[in-house]
Amino acid sequence: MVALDTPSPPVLEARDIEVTYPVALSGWFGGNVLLRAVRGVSLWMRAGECVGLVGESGCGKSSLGRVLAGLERPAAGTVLIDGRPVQWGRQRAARRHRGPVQMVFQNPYASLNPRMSALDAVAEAFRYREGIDWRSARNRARQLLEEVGIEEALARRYPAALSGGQRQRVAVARALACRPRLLIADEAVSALDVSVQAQTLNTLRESQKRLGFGMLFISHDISVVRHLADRIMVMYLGRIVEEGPAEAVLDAPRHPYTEALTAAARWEAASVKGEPPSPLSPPPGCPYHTRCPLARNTCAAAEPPLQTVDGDHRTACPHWRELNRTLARQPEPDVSATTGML
Amino acid sequence: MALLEVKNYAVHFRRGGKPIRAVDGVSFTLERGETLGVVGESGSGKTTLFLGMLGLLSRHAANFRGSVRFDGMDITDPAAENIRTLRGRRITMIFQDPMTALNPYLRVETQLFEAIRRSEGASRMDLLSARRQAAALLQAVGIPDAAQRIRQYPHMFSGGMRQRVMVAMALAPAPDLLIADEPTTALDVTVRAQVLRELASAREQYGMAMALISHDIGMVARFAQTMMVLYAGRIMEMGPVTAVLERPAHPYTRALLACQPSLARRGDLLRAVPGAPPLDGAPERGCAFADRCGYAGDRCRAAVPEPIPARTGITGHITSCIRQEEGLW
Ligand SMILES: Nc1ncnc2c1ncn2[C@@H]1O[C@H](COP(=O)(O)OP(=O)(O)OP(=O)(O)O)[C@@H](O)[C@H]1O
Ligand SMILES: Nc1ncnc2c1ncn2[C@@H]1O[C@H](COP(=O)(O)OP(=O)(O)OP(=O)(O)O)[C@@H](O)[C@H]1O
Ligand SMILES: [Mg+2]
Ligand SMILES: [Mg+2]
Repeated sequence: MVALDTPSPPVLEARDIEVTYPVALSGWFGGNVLLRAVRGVSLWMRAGECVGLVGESGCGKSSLGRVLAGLERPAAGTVLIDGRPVQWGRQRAARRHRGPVQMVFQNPYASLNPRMSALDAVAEAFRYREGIDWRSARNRARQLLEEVGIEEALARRYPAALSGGQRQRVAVARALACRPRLLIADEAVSALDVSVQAQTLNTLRESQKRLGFGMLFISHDISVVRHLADRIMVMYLGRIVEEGPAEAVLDAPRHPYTEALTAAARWEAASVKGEPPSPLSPPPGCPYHTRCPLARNTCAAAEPPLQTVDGDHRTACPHWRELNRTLARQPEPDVSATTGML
Repeated sequence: MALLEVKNYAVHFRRGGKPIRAVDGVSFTLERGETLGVVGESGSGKTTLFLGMLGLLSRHAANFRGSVRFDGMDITDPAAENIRTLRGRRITMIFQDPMTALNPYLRVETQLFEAIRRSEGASRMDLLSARRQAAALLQAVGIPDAAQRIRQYPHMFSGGMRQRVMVAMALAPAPDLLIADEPTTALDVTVRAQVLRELASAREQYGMAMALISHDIGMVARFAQTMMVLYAGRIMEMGPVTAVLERPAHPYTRALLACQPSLARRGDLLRAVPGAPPLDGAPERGCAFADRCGYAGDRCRAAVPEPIPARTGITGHITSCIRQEEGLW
C-alpha cells in the first residue's frame, strides 16, 4: 500500500508515442512508405480524471487509443499503467476483455460477442472482476444496463437484435463492469441521439466519480467532449497541437486549429479551410500551416514544439498571441461551406 | 408520380411468443430530388424501416405488411426480381455500420470498381478509367492521397474514412434514391460539410432523392426539406422541416427538441426525455408515446391514432397527436 501522504502515481503515463503503418505504393515500382499516424505524443492522467482527445477524421486518435489499451505496439515510446509498463503482444483475448484498461471501440460490433446476450456479456465482466456468482452478477448487470437505458427485456437480446445505439450502450456498460483503471472511450456516444447520449454521458461521469478511473474520451465532436473532460488535447495529423484545462482550451483556444474547431462546432462555419494534408507526406514544419490563417514563411521551416501559455495550457503555435487579434479582424466566417449546399 | 411511395408499412420481428413491432403502419412519399430527414430516439425503428423496404431483413425473423412502390414498380415482395436488380444500382444505401457493407478481404479499390460498374453504361468501362474514377470518388469525400490509399484494405482506414468510403460507394452508380443511415456520425464538422456537399451535388445534378436518417436534428434541419419523426415504429409527426422545428405539433417532437446538448454547459447534467421507448415497439392499442407524455389522457390510450393534418395548416404537415387542438402546450 502507498502511504496516504505520498501522491499516488498517475494511472497513465505515456511518453513519446510513435505509431507508424507501412503503406504499399501503387504503380510499377511498388515498395512501401511509412504512414506516421501518431507522432511523439506524451500524456499522463490521474485517477478520476477525464481527458478529451479531439481532432479531425484520420488524425490518429484511434491509433493512439489502441496503443494505450495495449492492443497495438507503438514504433517508439513507453506506456505505464499504474506505474507498470504495458507489455504489448502479451495481450491475450481474455485479458483484453477483462484487464485494467478497457476500450469502447468506435465500432460497437467489435466490442461485443455476437453469441452472448447483452445481459450475459455485462454479467460475465462482473463475475470475473468481483468473483461473484452468475445470479448476483446478472443482478448487477441489470442495474448498470438500466442506467444507460437498456431495460432487462432488451438486455436479453443478442447484439444482432439490437439497434446501433443500443449496441453502443451495451459496449459502454460492459467496459464499466470491468472496473477499469483506465477507460478509453473511442467515439462511444457518436451513434446516439441527444437524449440517449445525455443519459450515457451522465452514466460515464457518475461512474467515473464513484469508481475513480481515468478516462480518455476520444471524439471528433468538441461540443460533446465539453461535457466530460477536465483536460482537452487537440490532435492534428498525429501531433498534439494544443492541450490544457477544458475551459481554457474551449473558451480561449491558443491554436488556430482549435479556434477553427470550436467555431465549426457551433455550425458557424466549416472554418478549417482547404484540403486535409496527407499523412503519407505531411507538410514540412508546422503540420497546420497549409490551412492556417496565421501562417507565414517560418511556419514551414521547422516543426514548432509545444510551448506553455500558462500553467498546464500549452500550444504548438508560436504565434498564438496574434490569434484573437486576427480573428477580430476577419470580417465574417466563411459560411459558404455549410450553407452553399443547402 | 412520386419516386417512392410507402403505404402502411410494418415490420414485426418474431421473438418467442411476443412480436416486436419495430415498424408499424408507416406511410410516406418521396419525390425526385427531395430529401427526407428521419429522426427519432435510438431504437425507434429508423434502420429497420429502410432495411425492410430494401429486402435486407431475413424473411424468417419478421412479418412484413403494407406496400412499397418505387418509380411505379411494386417492390413490396423482396423475393421478387425487381428489388434485387434495383439495389446497388438505382437504390443504394449507406449503412450505419460500415463494416457490414465493406468486405474486409477486398481492397477498397475493388469494392469501388464493383459499385461503379453497376451504374448504367459503365459495364464496359476499361480498367484505367475505372481506376481514375474510383480515386476521384475517394478524393471527393475528402480522403487525401486517394490514389495510394485506394489500394489498401478497409481495416487500414480510420473509422471516419471507412464511413466516407461507403458514401463514395453509394454515390458511385449515380442512384435515383439514396438511403443514408447516420452517414456522418464519425465525421468532424469540416469533413461532414464536404460529404454533405457531395450528397447535395448529386441531388442537384441528377435529382437524386434521399432519406437521411440521423440523430443530429441540426444537420437534418439544414439539409432536408421534409422531416419525419419516428417513435416506437410509428410516425409521430411529419412535414416541411421549418414547420416541424418551429411549430412542432406533437409533444414527442417538443421533448426531442428540448434536449439539444448545445444549450447545456459543462458540468450540467444533460437533459434526457424522461422514460424509455416501449421495448416491444408500437403498442397494440393507443398512442405509442402515451406512457411518457405529460398530456396523455384516456382517449390517447384507447385507439391507435391516425395521422391528421397539423394545426399549423401547412401543406404536408401531419401529426398523430389527437389532442393537438386542445391548446395544452
Ligand atoms: N492498420 C493500419 N494500416 C495502415 N494504416 C492505418 C492502419 N490503422 C490506421 N491507419 C491510418 O492511420 C491514420 C490514423 O488513423 P486513426 O484510425 O488513428 O484515425 P482517427 O483519428 O481515429 O480517425 P477517425 O476519427 O476517422 O476514426 C489514418 O490515415 C489511417 O488510415
Ligand atoms: N433482428 C431483430 N430482432 C428483434 N428485434 C430487433 C431486430 N433488429 C432490431 N430490433 C429492434 O427493433 C427496434 C428498432 O431498431 P432499429 O435498429 O430500427 O432502431 P434505430 O431507430 O435505427 O435506432 P438507432 O438510432 O439506435 O440505430 C429496436 O428496439 C431493436 O432492438
Ligand atoms: Mg477513430
Ligand atoms: Mg439505426
